Amino acid sequence: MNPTDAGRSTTIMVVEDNDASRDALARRLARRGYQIVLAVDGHEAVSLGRSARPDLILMDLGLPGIDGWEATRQLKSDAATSQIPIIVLSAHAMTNDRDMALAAGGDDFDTKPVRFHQLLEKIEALLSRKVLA
Amino acid sequence: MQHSALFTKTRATELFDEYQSDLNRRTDRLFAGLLGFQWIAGILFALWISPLAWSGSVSRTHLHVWAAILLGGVISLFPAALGMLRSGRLSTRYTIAVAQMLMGALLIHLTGGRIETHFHVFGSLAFLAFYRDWRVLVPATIVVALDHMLRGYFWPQSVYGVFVASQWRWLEHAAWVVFEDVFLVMSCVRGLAEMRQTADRTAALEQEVRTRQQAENDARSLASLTSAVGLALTRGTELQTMLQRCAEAMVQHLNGGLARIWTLNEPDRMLELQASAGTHTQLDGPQARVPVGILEVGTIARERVPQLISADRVDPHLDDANWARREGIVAFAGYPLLVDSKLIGVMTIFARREFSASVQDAMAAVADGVAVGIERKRAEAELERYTKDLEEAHETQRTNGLQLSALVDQLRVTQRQAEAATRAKSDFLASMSHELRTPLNAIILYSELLQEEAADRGQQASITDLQKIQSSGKHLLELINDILDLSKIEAGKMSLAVDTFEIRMMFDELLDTAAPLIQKNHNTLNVRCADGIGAMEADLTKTRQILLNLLSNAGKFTRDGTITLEARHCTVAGRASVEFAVTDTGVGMTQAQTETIFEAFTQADVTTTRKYGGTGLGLALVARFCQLMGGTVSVESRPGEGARFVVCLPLNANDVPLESATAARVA
Repeated sequence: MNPTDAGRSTTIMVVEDNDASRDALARRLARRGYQIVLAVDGHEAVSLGRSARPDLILMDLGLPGIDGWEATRQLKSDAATSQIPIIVLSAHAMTNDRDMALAAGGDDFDTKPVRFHQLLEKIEALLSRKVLA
Repeated sequence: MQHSALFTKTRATELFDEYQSDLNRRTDRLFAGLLGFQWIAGILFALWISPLAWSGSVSRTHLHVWAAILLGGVISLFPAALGMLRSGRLSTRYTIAVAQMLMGALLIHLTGGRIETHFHVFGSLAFLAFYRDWRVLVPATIVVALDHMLRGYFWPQSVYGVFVASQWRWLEHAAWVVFEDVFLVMSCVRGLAEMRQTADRTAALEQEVRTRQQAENDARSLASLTSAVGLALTRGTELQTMLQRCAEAMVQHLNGGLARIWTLNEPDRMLELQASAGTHTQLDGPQARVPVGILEVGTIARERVPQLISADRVDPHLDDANWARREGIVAFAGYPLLVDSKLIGVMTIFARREFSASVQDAMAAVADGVAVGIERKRAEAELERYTKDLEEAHETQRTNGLQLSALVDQLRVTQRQAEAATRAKSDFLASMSHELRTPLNAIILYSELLQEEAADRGQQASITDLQKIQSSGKHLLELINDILDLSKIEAGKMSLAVDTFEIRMMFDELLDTAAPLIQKNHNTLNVRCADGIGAMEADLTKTRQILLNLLSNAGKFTRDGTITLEARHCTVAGRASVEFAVTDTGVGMTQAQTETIFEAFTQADVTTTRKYGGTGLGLALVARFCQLMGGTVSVESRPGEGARFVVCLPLNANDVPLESATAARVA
């Protein structure tokens, strides 16, 4: 994939409380040409989601303040942000994490550590769906 | 009834003697009175006829008066006294007979031999016949004859009233007397015979009355016996008490000296004394246990026929002859106790009188009753025993039930605890895997990021190193996943992902990961793959993890040594298999350690973890995976001599019987 191509005007918000994970993921996505907005907890995710209006959100579940489920629920219940696709990332490998994430309004789910190429495919799929819509 | 006839005869004689004695006494007293009366009358008569004897004008008391007083007194008073004081004796009768005849002689003399007064003689004889003892007539007759003979000869006027009399006149008088005697003797004999008849009749009557009374008493006794035995048999008491009451009833109502009841101990063929009433009442004497066939009781038990021994037989059978005499025992009866012709025991009684037919009938009935009673008691005892057994069984069952329910409760608690523990472990594993995944996430992302950046800059050497970081990170990720797998195995939720792969290629991949683990302690790795080892069909990830864990383990416990990985074909239980062996030259283990090394969350020693690192899960996973894949793992080791782990896996996973997988799950 060409990093300078499709992602030029696309903004992705990475919600992650672990500095290293957040930094590494953000830098890898940036190398693919995406604009990156960073949020370190649930409150910031909700407020930045409203103000920065990212095209897609990567939401960690285990967050300080309000957790990823609650942040996802709030973003999806706000008309201003409800259209933004959210991919929930969880370090929990339990299957009910996936169900709970999707029930809270997440559009897709992936586990950490991320398989980066697989994650990119999910991101592109959601973005193209949004463009089509 | 010879006995009772003899008794009646004796009684008749007794009665006769009584009558006779009574008659003699009465007659004695009669004559005592008569003699006294005659004396007084003689004196009065003498005073009336000729009170005075005149010799001219001089008178004096007539000699006859003195004779009447003195002679009459001499003759009368002594016999009269005998008649009153010693009545009934033959001597008294003889004395009276003589005196009475002498009184007659005196009367004749005092009347001057008046022939009319001779009638006194005949009257006296008749009176003497009152005795109904002809013998008294003999001295009386002799006195009369002698009197007439002597006085007729020496003083005829005194007896015949004449001065001269024939020398043989006394004979005539004597003949008249004898003539009367004949009839009087006949009368006496007749009277005695009648008296004897009366005595006989009275005795017979008495006997009959006695017999009837006896029969009535018998009937009463038997009724009492029957009722007492019946009561004893129906009361709800112990067997011995019941039999003791029966024995006591027999002694009491059958005029018994001793009554005993034995019961048969069937297996021992032994009669056991259960009850004894009467004068010998000990139960533990020499007859407490009598073998069947021995002694009288044993004989009765063997013959099963009642025994009756009466008084006229000498009684060597009676156990104690002296006792029998002392107690007046005259009869013995023994009855076998039978129920439906089955011998139950023996009943015996020694009695002080003979057993009448009705008593024998009653005793036979008592024997029947006692036999049935014993049988009933035994049946009751058996029933009671059964009931008790049943109750005990019930109780045991109840206790078992309680224990079982307690066990079930305990099991539930244990199960809940186990479930809670499993939940806690699952929670722990989930949270651990989360905590591990977060830094791992950064490691993998950064190593990939750095690889991309190095590639941009053309730094090829760095890329190789970064790939090792990435690969190790990924393997670590796999490990984490496998920890979750272990918990899945334990929860029975593990499945196999079977692939076909080349063993050499699997080794190459494996060694990329394992090499750093082996080399860190300056160990050398040898890999020996048998020629034509080819491919196998198995779960690649698990096979690789098994070997990685073994190599990692070997690397941990070996320093400056050699670690060898081998693979070859083999056959286990007729099944084509692949044998992997990991041999090291490390610290080795004791036998005790090798026995627990494959258990989860254990290392050979708690200090091991601190010294060598690791989670203690590696070998446990090896064992679980081997089981799951239908294979085996074993270890040979000695302290200081290294260790050799051998893993055997089926060449074709589809050959694995289903049970192995199931068994692995359960394990």
